[in-house]
Amino acid sequence: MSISIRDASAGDGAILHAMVRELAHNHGHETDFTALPEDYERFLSDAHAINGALIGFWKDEPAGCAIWQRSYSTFRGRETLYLEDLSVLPQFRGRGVGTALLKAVARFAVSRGLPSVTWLMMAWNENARRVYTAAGAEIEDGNCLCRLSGAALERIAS
Amino acid sequence: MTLEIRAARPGEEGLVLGFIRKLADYEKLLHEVEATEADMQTALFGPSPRCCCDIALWNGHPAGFALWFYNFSTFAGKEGIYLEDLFVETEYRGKGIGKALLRHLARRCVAEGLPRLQWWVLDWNEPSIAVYTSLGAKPMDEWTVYRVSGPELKELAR
Repeated sequence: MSISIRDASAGDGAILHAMVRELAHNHGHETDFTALPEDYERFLSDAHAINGALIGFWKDEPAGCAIWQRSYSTFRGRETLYLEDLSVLPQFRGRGVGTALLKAVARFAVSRGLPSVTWLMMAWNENARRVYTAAGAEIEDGNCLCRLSGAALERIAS
Repeated sequence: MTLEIRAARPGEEGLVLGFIRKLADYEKLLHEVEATEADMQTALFGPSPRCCCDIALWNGHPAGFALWFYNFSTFAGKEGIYLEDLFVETEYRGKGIGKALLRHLARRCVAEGLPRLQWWVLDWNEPSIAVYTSLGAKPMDEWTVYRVSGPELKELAR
């Protein structure tokens, strides 16, 4: 088997940071990417962190990652899993690393007794859409994510 | 006329569940609500709480609520607040209670050094979208939500 997956742990911050930075660049969000590797080390070394990560390897080389967060659905009255990032480095794409990571995230959710995994995808990302649809994911129509940050956040807070 | 916003207290899980059900009804999703009072007791006041809840009181009467939890932005490298539910009772609308609940959370973000406050809105909910836009919130409408749950989640987890 060429693909293997393991839990990220302390010391993996730089690898994860590089992979998410690649994702940000690939999605045209370079300017939004201000995280530092130490920000990742902080949650990797915190046993009570609300988030964690899995790293996917292709023949022992780090090839991709999945970063999850604890979430909650008030409709279900249950804790759920939110997949913040799924990234595969360009040179490792098309080999099933993304699907393997998604399966590992699903196994993690089921092992914790969580009823669902939710994530976002850019509407233009047809390759990702094919992978997710093949995995049995449903697209939730009619939602729109809103965000307050920067000057607008300061303004409403004042 | 006074407006007070304070954290929900143990014993108010029935009030909170009532708000959740009314919000679901407004969203035409009441059939999806499975949460019970016991679920909300565990989530809000159990030994390891998953969510926080603020109640808005108008002249001492519970008029609305905001249910939220912390998340983590891997792009910003910082924690933020994710607003799961925001609701104001029909008879208390138009008094600025929804905005006051959002402002309360925005103040918490600024006080705690959190760069983002995020939430979802259904795309047909024009009155809410108008309020959010007026506050400077940006709709992130290039994102598509995916979810895998139930039998598809178990299948993917295999």
